[in-house]
Amino acid sequence: MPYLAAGDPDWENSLKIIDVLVNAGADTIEIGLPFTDPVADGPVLQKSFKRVLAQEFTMEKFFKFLSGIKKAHPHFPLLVMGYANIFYRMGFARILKQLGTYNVTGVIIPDIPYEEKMRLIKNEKLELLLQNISWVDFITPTTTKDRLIKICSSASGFLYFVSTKGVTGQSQFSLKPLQNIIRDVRKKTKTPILAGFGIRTAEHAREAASLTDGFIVGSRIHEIIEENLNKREFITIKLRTELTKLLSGIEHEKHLMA
Amino acid sequence: MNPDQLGYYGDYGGRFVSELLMPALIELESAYGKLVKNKEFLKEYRDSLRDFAGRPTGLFWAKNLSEKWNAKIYLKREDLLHTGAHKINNTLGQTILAKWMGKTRVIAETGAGQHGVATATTCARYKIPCTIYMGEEDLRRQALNGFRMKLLGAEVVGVGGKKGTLRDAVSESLRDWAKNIDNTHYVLGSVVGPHPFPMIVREFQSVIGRESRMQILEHEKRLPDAVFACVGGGSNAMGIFYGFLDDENVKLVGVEAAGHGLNTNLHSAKLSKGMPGIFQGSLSYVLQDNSGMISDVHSISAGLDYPGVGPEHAYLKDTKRAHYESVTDKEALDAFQELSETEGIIPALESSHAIASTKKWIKKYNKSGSSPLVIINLSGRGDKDVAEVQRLLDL
Repeated sequence: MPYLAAGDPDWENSLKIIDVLVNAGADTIEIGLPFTDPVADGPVLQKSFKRVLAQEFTMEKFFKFLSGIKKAHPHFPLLVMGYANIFYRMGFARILKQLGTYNVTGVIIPDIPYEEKMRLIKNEKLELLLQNISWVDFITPTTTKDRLIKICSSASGFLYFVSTKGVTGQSQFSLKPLQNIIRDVRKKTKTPILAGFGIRTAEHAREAASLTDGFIVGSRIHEIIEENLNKREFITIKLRTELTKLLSGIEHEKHLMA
Repeated sequence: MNPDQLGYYGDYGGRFVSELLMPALIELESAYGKLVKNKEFLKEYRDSLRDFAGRPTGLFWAKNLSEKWNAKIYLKREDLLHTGAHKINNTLGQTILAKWMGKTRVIAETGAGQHGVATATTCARYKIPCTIYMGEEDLRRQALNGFRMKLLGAEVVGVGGKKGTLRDAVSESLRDWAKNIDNTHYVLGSVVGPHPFPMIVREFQSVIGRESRMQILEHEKRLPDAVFACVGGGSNAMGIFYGFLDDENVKLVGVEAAGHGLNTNLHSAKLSKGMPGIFQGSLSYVLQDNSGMISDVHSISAGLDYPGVGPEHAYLKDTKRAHYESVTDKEALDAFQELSETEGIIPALESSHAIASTKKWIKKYNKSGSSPLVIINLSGRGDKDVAEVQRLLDL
């Protein structure tokens, strides 16, 4: 699953990138909702949000972007990743409802852990809404066994498996030391597992595909955007080449999710 | 009050962090809960507060200022502590906590550098390597504090690009912590961030309030009419308020930075002008725009230059137990000079906000025909600000 910060490097080129990602065979795309203080992200994705926010961001522009995707790809399902305050400001129920109208099938909120999620679902009365849109949970290398059981018991959509301690855009990637956690998750739930954080080469992608049900590529995509800011027409070309390279050697079923 | 099981004070607080950090927060809460009942831990903390930091601090009757302003004014002298501000109450507590928890590395954020210097100081004392994150702009404005931290053996890392300030330093500390969670303790510097930090920092700062209450009863045989403290994240205010929270007749006033004025965008008065939001780990008042983006803020004082505030302050505001006022850069600068000339005490620019607000309040109070008894928390000394003030006055 590719990740793209909405509006990076600008709204027009962002839509063109979506076309490339869809045509590369992505089953779904994770769209990033920009935020001023993205504490779970490394330098590359921090800069991508800064680029979008420098163009005077509004929620209207974001929804217009989603509507542009829907127009070009009417049945293509999306996921939206955003920090808690954006959801809180607009109201969780309101934003979830609105996202649903743009074929968004799930949301990822990196600064809302399981306990806060449960509290919010209760306080904001979101149970019904969440039958149509999933709120994705995280499993990380630090997740304790008792937390893992709780999280798996209510997981929906997929589980976001954070491959390393730290933030997005890690330079090293290996799931092998974490196989026991993946095994524990499999025992508790049939919900698919997607690996993220640090996947940037075909080798990483192969490893992730062999141990999980798919993987998320974000920082690598935004590096390519960043490297080509002065010649934006090249971004889509370079991305196409990179994605082909990244997905080489993975059977199609395995990158269905990817 | 103590927060509920999820770390909420009424509607505010909680733990809005990535799943990576949750186990560490739970571990910290449990370790803290055990250690505050451990006599040896408490003895180590209290002894170090006394012998290393210099507690208790005096409650000083500011006679000249009292005469001039027609009130009886006491200053709680946190400015006399080692490293020059109340920050060390917390860094000593948390550094000893880190040591008892077996952590071998400490990280901290800092704005003006006061919390960073205090952390570097206590880490030197307890032989724990530490890394301090500081915004690049702050590092330039407070270059001397950057050097002080290095002198104390800390690694100092500039963050956030050229415009980097305290909020960037907090974000970068949270990122570092997520990466090095096994061996590292994050010494958060104020009553902000995810639970249990607001509670732990408040408990370590509450010594200010406990001492102040005893001291004012000794001096005056009665409680004050009001207590004033400046609010950035809110730790010195929370510390002194805590001594008087149950004394309903004592008015508690937190003073925010109005910067160039509350009608401009250049202030950092989140309790006066912000809205509830989720920022850097907790739900509290935040300065933000309609999309939920966190605003750029301003204050003459780097220690107040932060868009968020501790969740317990949000609770005290909504329940009306505490009141929140604000003063401009100009008013704070005037108070800075006035206290220096009148009492021979150069206050920190942060604390100058509390002094300026007290002056305005006394004027109103005097109209009723009586003069009040007031305590101002003099949270830090102004040596660090002298160069900046000289620059501003020369303009």
